[in-house]
Amino acid sequence: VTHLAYLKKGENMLPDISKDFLFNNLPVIFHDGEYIIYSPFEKKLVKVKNFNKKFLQEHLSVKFFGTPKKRELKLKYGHLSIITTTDCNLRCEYCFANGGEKPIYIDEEISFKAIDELTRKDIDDLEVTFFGGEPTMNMGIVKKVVEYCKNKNVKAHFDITTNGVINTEKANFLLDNKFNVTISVDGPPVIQSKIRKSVSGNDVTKVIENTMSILAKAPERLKARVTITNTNISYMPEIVKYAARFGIKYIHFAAVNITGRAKSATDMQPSAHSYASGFIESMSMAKKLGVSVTDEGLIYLLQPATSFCSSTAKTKLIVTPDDSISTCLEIQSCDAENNLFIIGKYNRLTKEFEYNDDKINNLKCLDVDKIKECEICPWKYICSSGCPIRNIVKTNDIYKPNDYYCTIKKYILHEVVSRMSIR
Amino acid sequence: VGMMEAIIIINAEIPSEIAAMEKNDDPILDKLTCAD
Repeated sequence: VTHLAYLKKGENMLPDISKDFLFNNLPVIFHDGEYIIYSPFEKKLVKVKNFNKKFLQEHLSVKFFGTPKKRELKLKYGHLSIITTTDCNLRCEYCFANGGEKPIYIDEEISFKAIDELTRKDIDDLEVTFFGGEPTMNMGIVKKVVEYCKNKNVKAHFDITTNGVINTEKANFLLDNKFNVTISVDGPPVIQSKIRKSVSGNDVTKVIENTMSILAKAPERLKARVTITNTNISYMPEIVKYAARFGIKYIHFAAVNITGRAKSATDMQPSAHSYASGFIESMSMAKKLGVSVTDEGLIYLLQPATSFCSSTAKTKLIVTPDDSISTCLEIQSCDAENNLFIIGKYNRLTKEFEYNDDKINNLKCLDVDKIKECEICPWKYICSSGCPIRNIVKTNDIYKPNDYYCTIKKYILHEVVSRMSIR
Repeated sequence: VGMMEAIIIINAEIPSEIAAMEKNDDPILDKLTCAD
């Protein structure tokens, strides 16, 4: 069985990362007898047989070395995310949000107010993301928000993350309104039915396949989000094949984070080595099929920064069904465990958004330069200490990176930079 | 001189099998979707 080849080979197929290091803010990998220095600032690679620090510092340009900045969203855009509901029609075994257990729904008032709040400022474009739970379980709000933006003449783009368990009418609505869609799908039916079960236990894979076929009519706006557990780890290249069969061009893999429902089954997380091997094998499959794969560690390969994502900057507004304002899609309630990402609340009496400036300022302080463990990591300014939620879940400390994801990134980033150097 | 000859500089292009964000408004990659 070919799809198991990478697991049989195990660590033998992983690159040797022991000689990789950080040099003047840049990653250096040792590959095939050469040092490869990657500059995400100038988008250049330098290959040398002998590494002479002083010589390189003297002969490479200031632009090549560059200076990493904080990651912020473009301010001319208004970034609004609406958590339409915490309800869900699936009961995925690892769901970060324990989806469906305490269903509440957002209403028009806060959703429309959030649009007004963002369009009041000097903003040319509005990007609206719908998230959940399963956001289409509050489809009424999705449709009303689209309508509201049209009526207000707001130039808006829409995004949604869905599990694909929706009918043809809803799928066509997303297609017709040019939504960018992220569909969560963990593999062929045999896998999907094990990990992503419906509430009633019925097999819903045919429904998901129908949704994928409809949305793939606009392949540039469709991405699959695949969570890898011990159940589907040996299928990673097969999953690429499966998604490609439905016309999906982008596949975003992630090794499961032990949070939410996954906490009750900690053995579901595959080893970092097997995930990295599976990802590398998936790259080869993707190349063969003309599709692209990615992982959290690779998304910012061309965008060095001192912070991982914009959740640490107040450049977007996430509104939730309990009237909270969050900066992270994963933190959806003021009762959440990691509520440091809840930066305010919508006040129903004054009809205003109220912000907690202390919390905002605390988040702004998070910076990879303050994290001891990242000090000499070659990938310091590409990974930027990784997702703060993933860190806090493992280490209970926003300033301590999650070594599980560190290991994965070190292997796959090395592999990708070595592939970039082949001409 | 020997050292200069040994330096090779090439453009860093992302291989087609990898998706990475190139600009802030890449429509579909822009959404990181960290949450499982």
